[in-house]
Amino acid sequence: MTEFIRPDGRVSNQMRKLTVEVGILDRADGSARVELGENMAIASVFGPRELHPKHSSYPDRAVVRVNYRMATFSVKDYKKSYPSRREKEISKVLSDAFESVVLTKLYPRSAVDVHVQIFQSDGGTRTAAAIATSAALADAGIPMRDLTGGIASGIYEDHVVLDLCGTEDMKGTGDMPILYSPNIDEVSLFQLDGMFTFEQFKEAFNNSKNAINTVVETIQEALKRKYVKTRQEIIADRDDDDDDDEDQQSHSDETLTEEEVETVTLGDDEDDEDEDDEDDDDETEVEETQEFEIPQTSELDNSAASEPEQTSDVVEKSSEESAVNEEKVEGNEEDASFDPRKISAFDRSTLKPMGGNAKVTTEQKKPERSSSDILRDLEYTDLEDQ
Amino acid sequence: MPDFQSLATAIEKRQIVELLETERRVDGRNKTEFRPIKIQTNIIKTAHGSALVELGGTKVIAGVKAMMGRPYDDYPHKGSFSVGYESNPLAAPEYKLGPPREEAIEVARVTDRVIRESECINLEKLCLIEGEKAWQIFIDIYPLDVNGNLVDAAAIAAFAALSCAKIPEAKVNEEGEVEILETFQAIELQAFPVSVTTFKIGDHFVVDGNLKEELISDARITFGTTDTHIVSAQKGGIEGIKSEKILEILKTSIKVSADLREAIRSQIDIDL
Repeated sequence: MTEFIRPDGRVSNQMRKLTVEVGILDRADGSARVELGENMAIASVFGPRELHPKHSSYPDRAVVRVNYRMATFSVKDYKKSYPSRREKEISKVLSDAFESVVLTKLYPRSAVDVHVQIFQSDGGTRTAAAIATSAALADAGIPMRDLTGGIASGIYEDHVVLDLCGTEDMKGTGDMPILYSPNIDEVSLFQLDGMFTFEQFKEAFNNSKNAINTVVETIQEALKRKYVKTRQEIIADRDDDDDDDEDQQSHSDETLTEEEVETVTLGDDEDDEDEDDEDDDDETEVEETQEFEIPQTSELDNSAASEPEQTSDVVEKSSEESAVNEEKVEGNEEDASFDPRKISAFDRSTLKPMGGNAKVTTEQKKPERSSSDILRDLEYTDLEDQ
Repeated sequence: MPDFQSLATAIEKRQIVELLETERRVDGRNKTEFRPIKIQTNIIKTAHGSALVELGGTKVIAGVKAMMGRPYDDYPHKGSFSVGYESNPLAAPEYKLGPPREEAIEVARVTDRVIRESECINLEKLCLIEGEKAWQIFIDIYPLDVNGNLVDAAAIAAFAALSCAKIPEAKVNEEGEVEILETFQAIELQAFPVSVTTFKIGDHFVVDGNLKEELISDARITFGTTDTHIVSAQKGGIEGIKSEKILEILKTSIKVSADLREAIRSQIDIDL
């Protein structure tokens, strides 16, 4: 088949130019501007926040409310300013779609509000709106299972075409917008109107899925443009500091690998820790290797009883011991020089809340961590499975 | 994001007032200084004219659409226009969905009056057949970021969008019917209105308040002026303003307007 050239000069499975920019608004918690061809959408995210009216909240999860609107001057003719039935329907399907990817269980009784406004339209505003929503949610730091992208495929002059423009949308005989999350392989919005044969449908669906990979990459790049730069700035700032620097560096290395270390091997752990200062070393060793533990126990009398048990099964024990360990290391801690930066690093790696009561607790949570973290993960996946 | 009410706490109000005692403002401006203005025109292709205006942290988009319609019975020889403003909930956390609130309607009405009373648009030129056919101009304003003094930003955006608008040309053919052509014409403008809003904070008066100044202000007064006339005014807020102060504010507003007009003129294509 010779290449079919479309009204705007594209070939069948070519999408229009997509530009995404995040963090464009000041007062919104997250925001994004998306231009898909001649479409322009601006989205802003507020929340998670208290939900009004209260009776529409859920005791176990947050609601995601997407409000899709078109500006009066966004279409060829003048559009009436009040919301049309079409806008209300799109708001609803977008709300449902994003409710399925946002981790709503993390925020019971609250709402995540997304407002998307189309300022310029040329076919495919709902996919532009969906891309803007996805980017703005990520910009707001709302936890999601995956970044979602959207695109429409349709039939124009009996050809399956990707990303219909206004003309194709009007004159075409089929339109199928989808929202898809590539990493979890889930379709969260699916609409179709027109006449597709089964073969056409399969082709359209696959084209859309492939295009959405590009869409998601574009969103990721936009997010990186905003946030990776910030990280580099932090690193640049850190370079200005003198010798503290190396310390911090080696430590952050450790925090990165920590997760694996705890669950997988002990040997790695040792290597990592050699770079570190004394007090940190001691604690991790206490938890994970017996040889290093023993000299330490001799220093501290009250833990002696629990120590032998620990040797038998390291991981399961840990929560019991932690209480004992806590006291034990408290003694240690007072002697050793205390570096608050390390504590916060530990905190970040384990996502434990940073309590006011001390250095010791935060560090000492470590043995507990290994098991309870897994537990929490389990609970979490359970929730997600439901 | 802090709650709307808690944004302007008593402490912040005291800080702002204390600074004002020493003739300073929280963002380093003096009392009669506008925030920097940035205007981008014709950003929206589906609109006949459009402008994105940034007044400090306040961002608004205005779009102009023209439609052929019927003139009003009381002005059969004139086209018409209207200014709409929608307090779009994407612009601020405190904005809610639903029918327009009083505040939003006020913004629209005040902006409408600045444009209308300055006789900025030559409405006669928009009429094609008296009593039958005339252009209706719709100016719609959408806020993107609400950071204080929306009214003045809206007026700038409305005027900037009008100044760059290209509406279709139309003519009356032999059968006496209106024919809309493929070519475009500018909207004839004959005045350059701007509005300047002054906020009363304690005993102090500041122009172009930022978000916090606006939230803690006791009253505000907006003057719309052209080069030659005062064309509109609107007072808002829960406190009164002494009569001699009104005159003082008006004088300052006229002075500030001249600078403001200059700042706008440098960014849009206009010979007024």
